[in-house]
This record gives sequence, structure tokens and C-alpha cells, in this order.
Amino acid sequence: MDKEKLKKRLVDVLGPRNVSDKEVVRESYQYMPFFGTTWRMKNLFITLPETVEHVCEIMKIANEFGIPVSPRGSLGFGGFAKGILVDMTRLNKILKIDEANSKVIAEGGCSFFHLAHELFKKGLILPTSEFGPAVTVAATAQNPAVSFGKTRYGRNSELVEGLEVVLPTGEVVSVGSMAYDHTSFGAYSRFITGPDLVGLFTQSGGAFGIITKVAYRCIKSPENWGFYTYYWPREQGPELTEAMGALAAREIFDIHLNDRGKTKALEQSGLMPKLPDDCWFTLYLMVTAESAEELKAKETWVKDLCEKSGGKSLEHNICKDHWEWPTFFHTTGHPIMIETYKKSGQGFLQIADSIYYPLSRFPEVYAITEELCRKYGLVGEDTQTILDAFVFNDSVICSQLWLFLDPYNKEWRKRTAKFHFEFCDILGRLGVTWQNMYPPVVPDWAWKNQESAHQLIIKLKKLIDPNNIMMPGNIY
Amino acid sequence: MGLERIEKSLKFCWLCGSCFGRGPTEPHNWREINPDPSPNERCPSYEYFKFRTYTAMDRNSLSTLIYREGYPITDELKEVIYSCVMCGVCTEICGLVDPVDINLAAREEVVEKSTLLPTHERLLATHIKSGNPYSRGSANRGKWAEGLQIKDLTKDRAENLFFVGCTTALRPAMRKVAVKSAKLFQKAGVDFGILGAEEKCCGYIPRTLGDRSSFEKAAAENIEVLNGLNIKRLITCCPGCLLTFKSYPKGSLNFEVMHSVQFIEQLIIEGKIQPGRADGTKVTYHDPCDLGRACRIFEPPRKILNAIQGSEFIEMERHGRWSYCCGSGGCVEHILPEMVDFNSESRIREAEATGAGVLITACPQCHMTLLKASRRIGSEIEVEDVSVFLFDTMD
Repeated sequence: MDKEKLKKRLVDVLGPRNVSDKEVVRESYQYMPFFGTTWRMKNLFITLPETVEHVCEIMKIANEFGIPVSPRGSLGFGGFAKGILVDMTRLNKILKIDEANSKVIAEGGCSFFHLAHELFKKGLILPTSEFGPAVTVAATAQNPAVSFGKTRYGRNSELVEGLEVVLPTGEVVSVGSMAYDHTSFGAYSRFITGPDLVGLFTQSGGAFGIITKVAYRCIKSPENWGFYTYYWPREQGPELTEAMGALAAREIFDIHLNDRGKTKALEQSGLMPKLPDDCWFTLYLMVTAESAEELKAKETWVKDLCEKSGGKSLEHNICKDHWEWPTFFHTTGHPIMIETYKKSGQGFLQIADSIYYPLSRFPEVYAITEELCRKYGLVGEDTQTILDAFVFNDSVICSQLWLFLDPYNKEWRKRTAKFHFEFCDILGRLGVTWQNMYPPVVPDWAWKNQESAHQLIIKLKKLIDPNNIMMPGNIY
Repeated sequence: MGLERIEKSLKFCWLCGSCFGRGPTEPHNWREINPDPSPNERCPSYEYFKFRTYTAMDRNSLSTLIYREGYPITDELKEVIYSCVMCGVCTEICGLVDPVDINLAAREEVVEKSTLLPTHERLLATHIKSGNPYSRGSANRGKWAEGLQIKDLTKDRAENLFFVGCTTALRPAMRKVAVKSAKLFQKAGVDFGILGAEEKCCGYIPRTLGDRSSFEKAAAENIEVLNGLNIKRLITCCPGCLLTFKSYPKGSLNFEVMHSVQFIEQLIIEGKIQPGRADGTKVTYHDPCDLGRACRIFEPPRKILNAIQGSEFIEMERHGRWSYCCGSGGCVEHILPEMVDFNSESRIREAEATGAGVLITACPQCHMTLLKASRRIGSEIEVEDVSVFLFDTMD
């Protein structure tokens, strides 16, 4: 491949300031949260398209040269193959907020926090992952991003109603509600005539094209909010699961679950009063209501459901604290995150194996997780391993293990890698799915467990991306 | 020295992107919106280059690679490290690490293990040779004070030392800041003096470039001389000097250090200065990074401006702790003048958007940078120092 010729083609289209093959730029674009410096894929060129037309031209050039393309927002890693990395953050505008119909359309590179902020001013909300302002709208649509509000509303991609996508061939296609954006009624529904093509692109990890616009359906911001914290002892995993199932069936706004590891650092440093000795699992519950009376009624049935299953109300209402100002989960300054991080002494937050499985199987999966953590020395006095879990509206639970990893600590890396291998093998056989989605980041079980579907996906991939330039390696 | 001194910090960058990402760094909390959201456009080097390589997040990653893997310190890498204007917005945002300090440590690593970029080498050499970054002879330092009959503290004693700094003393356009500040002190009957030609650079340049040993040498010399003056207070009109003095070893100076806006505010409160009138004048204020975010001095200049009767004070969108850098911090103008132009012009446009006729600041470097930007784009907005503006309203 003639790199100089390729560079010239890219520069002719994008301009010299929007193309870089500098070694240091290529190096730095490899790294991302959760992987840190452990995953490395150094692309040949980093590009900054400013328009949809730029994106189309990049795709055409990539096909011409037979070179892979990896789209990214602000934080993505280097992809699965070396080629052209497309940084989408210059397409970052909010295009339309339709207050009357609770819809929004934004460019793919728009910050999700920026979008959430502007929606809130108009009395609308989207379940907002409180990770940081660099996460983009396309990333939350394309990857299985999950936010607070998930128990009632599901994954963020479930609220996506339409997309504008640049296909691997360079054609632009509008699917779902975006197909109607040019009409007088505008983009109002995902379910138009024909198959649901939005589903082809959400959770595709970039395999089928680059998302340049997203249409979301929003939620009217509720008037009243209730935050409750209940706890269970370790041996009452089944009872806890029963409570979570009952609460999810009532469409509670959000159910979030942690084990004692989450508050360990704060208890150790005295920033939080010591929790009761029998407090092992803590459930954080958010409810919404249109009136104070409704909220009171919901508070009552939450209490009844939890206590019926052996739960006890935690005197220190951590859940309420989490959602007072400033909110808990943003990365940049909340005491829990800072203290846990520092106590870990290790380094970046590695989320090991964010997995989905039936809610009813939580006790079993937790027991496997716990046993393997003990086997590989990942839990103990000097570790800050945390179980983080959340319940969805379809009786599914996602649980993650937060390990704090210094990528240069060879011994710790070896242990976590062994844990990962055995954990994935056991749970892959049982039938979990992974939030991170694609091999080789996740095990082959992700495809093995759905052979016929995987074959169909490969066929579609070959049809839409005949030269396999988009994120090669994730589908096949 | 170097990255070793911040080794622990390198582990804690979460790569969350808050240092440059759009939108507030904290989202709404379901009941209320963030009352003090960080600005959308916050990182000057990112806003210019648009590649995330030029952000605190990626500089942290690269620093980790240098420290842990011996990543080669090439000129390209140096450009990334020294493209940081050290404005401190990232530090303001991040609760886990101090990205400005990490950047400073990376600069120290460059000086220790490699060489500076050629223009920075020349800047440092000029500084070491002339005692200032402008190649002006030290005799010129006192020229601004000619005819003002100010005590010479090399021969006399006073309670306060007015430390002018290289830029104010040696750049002709900035000398009025020293002159009018001194005249304000005289009007207020303040007992003060200056060092004139004997004033030595605080060490800002070597410190900012990462030449720790030259900085420590400059600091040691100043500590000895200044402590020997038996002053109660050092007052400076330069935030760069203020910040540099505050970075001298803790407890090494036997006097208080403050910026002139703090002192002037106090004089107004005590009734020793009576601000005049500026009828019909709309003003806005640019918080210098080294004064505001670094030293947490936000209110005194505002109080001074609000004490001037008849003028209308309007804040820029990015003000206070979220003030946007003028563009020329971190010695960046010597290697990336176009980036300085880009950011300073952005700031001037932001000032214009307030409808103000005058953009006030309290830093000679910001002042010169913004003045040049204003002229370059043909803006009608004037740029002025707070002490000069105040003085000009008085009889």
C-alpha cells in the first residue's frame, strides 16, 4: 500500500489539519478507559472529518486502498486492525429538540452530557450514564451503553428511534425515524414500514457503518423523585433476587446493586459510618412520581416488597446521597470514587467482564464470581474489588467486577488474566452475553452461543461491507 | 524531579476525558441542573488542534509511556507536552490528579533526559544570560520609575516591596501598569519601595520550561535578597510572579506575597483610595489563569471594578474558575504562535459578545496577548489593566 498516496488522498479531502500520521498522535489514540494501556492498536492515520461528506469520502478511499476504518468518539480505543481511525468529535451539534413530542436529534459526535444538559433545560431527560462529558451520542447508541433509568427504560439503544449512517461503501442511509426527517411530520417513530433497520446498527460496534446522526426519544422529567437504600446479608442472595424481580416488575425507575466492596474504602477511611455487620448486598432504588401522594404510595410498596424479602432499610441513605449534588457517579471528583481509587493503590479501573444473564440466576453467578475471586486472590483486605450490578426491564441483570489494575504490575495482571479466562469459560458455557460485545475483547462464546445468528450477521456484513473495512475482526 | 516525583499520579488518570470533553463535567442530578457547569470549550490546545493527543488525558498517557516504557522523547512529543498552556482548567475539573503538575513533571523529564525545542532553548539561554526573557539589560528594569520618586529598597527601608516583574518592567506597552499602580500607592500614602534595576526575575521561565535546577538557583538568590529587605509584604502586578513566589519552598519567604488587586481592594475598603467615575462605560473582566484558578483570586478585581461609579460590569460566559486562557500561558507562544492567535482571538470575540467596550485584566502577559489579538482582528474593544483603568477614573 502506498502510504504517501493514501495520505495525499485524505489530505485532499479533509485538509492538512484534519489528518495526522504523526507517531505521537497515533500512539496516544490507542488508549481508553477500562483498557488503559493494556490494549494496543496503532492506526496509520487519525482523521477528523468535519462533515458527513468527509466521512463518505474516507470510506470510499478506504475501500480503494483496502484499508480498515475504525470510528471513534472522544474516548474509543484503536480498534481491531490498523488503518484509518475516524475521530467523530467534530460532528458535535444538537440539531433539534422537539419538546412537544419529547424527541431530540444530535450529531454522532455530540457529547452525551452536553445533550443531557440541554434537554434538562427543556424539561426532558435521557437516562444518562454519569461517566464523563467525553462520551458521545453515537457511542451510546452503537455500544450497549447503560445508564440510570435502565430498569424502566432499558439500554440507551432502546431509546434510539432513528439513525443516519454512512455505510462502508460511502453511501448515506437514514433508518427508522430519521428516514422521515425530511417530511413535514419529521422524525417521529422508529417503527416505519419494513424491518427495524435501526437494530442493525445499534450495538454493531461500528461494523456496519459510521453513525453520523442519532434520533432519541426522551422522557419528560418527572416532578418527584424518591431514593431508597436497602440491604441484605450475604446468605440471602435468593431473597434479594426475589425482591429485585418484584421491584423490576413494578417498573421502578432504577435498581442498582453493589456488594460491600463498593463502600469498603469509605468505611476504611472513615468517610462513611461503618455499615451494619450483616450488610453485604446494598440495593439502591430510584422511583419517580407525578405527585407527592404517588411518591408516598411507591415508597410504601418499595418498603413492603423489600422487607417481605428480608431487606432492611439502611439508616444512612447512601442512594439519596448519591443523587444529591454533586452526583455520585461522575468520575472527576466524588469522594467515593477518589477514595476507592487511592486505596486501590493500583491504577485504572478495569471493568472485568460486564455480563448479562437472567435475573433469577444472580445467586449462582455471584457464587461463581466470589469463588473465582478468592481462588485468584482478587478479594482480600488490601484489595478494592467491587461488584456493580444493575437490573433491566426484561428480567435481565448485568453485573460487572471492578478491578483496579496497574498494567505494569505483572503479577496482578497474570492473576486477573487467569481469573478472566476461567470466569469467561464457565459463564460462557452457561450462556451469558457480554456488554463489551465483540471478540477478541470478549471470548468466542459471544458467537459460539448463537451460531446460526452469527452466520446471518456475517452474511449481512459481507453484503454491506464487501471489502470488510469497518472494524474488521469483530464480526469475523 | 521529573516524572518520578508524580509517579503515583500517573496511575490514577482514569482517561475519562473530562479535561476536554464537551458539556458539564457533572450532569444534572434529576432534580436540578448543574448550577456551575464547566464550559463546553475548555482546553486551549484541544480547541486548536482538535486531536485529543493535545489534551491532559493523552499527555498523561504519554507521560506514563515515557516513565514506564522509555517512550522516546522526540520533537513531536515535546511539541505535545509544551503545547499545554498550563491554564489549570483540567486541574479545576479533575478530582483524581493534577494534570498541570503532571505536565510540569513531564517538562522536567524532557530537560533532564533530552533537550528543549530550539526556540525554548534560546528563551532559556536568554533568560540565564540577561535575567529576563526579552534580552533587555537589567538597567532597563528601573526605567519605568524615573521621576516618580519611589524609595529604592537597595538603599532604603519600607514596609512593602512593589515587585514589578520582567514583562511590566521591560515591555514599553506595559510600563504604564507599574507607573499607575505606583501612583495609586502614593495617593493612598502606602509606605513602599522598589528594587529597580536590582530586581531579579522570579524564575517563572525556567520553572515553566521544566529546568528545575535553574529555577531553584533563581529562587535561592531571590530568597536571600528579598528576606534581607525586612519587608512585611511583597506586592506584585504579575500573576506569573505571584504563582512562582508561591512555589518557592514552603516557609522560605519571611513576608506576605500578594497581587496588587488584593492590595488595592484593601485600600479602597480602608477609604485610602476613592475610585472615580466611568459613566456609560461597559467593562468585562478576563481572569488570568495564574491569578484566578492557580491562586484563587477572583473577587478583588471585580470589587474594584464595581466600586467605579457609572460603569457597568458584565461577565463573560467563561469567567471566574472557568475563565478561558488568553492563549499564551506555559511559554507556548515561542513554539506555537498560531495557537496563541487562535485562542486569544476566541477570547476577544467572547469579550465582544458581552457588549463591553473595555476588556479589563490583571496580568501583563494576558494584557499584551489580548491587545495584540484585538488589533489583529480589528476589534473595537479596548484592553486595559485594572489598576490603570481605576487610576484613570480618579482625579
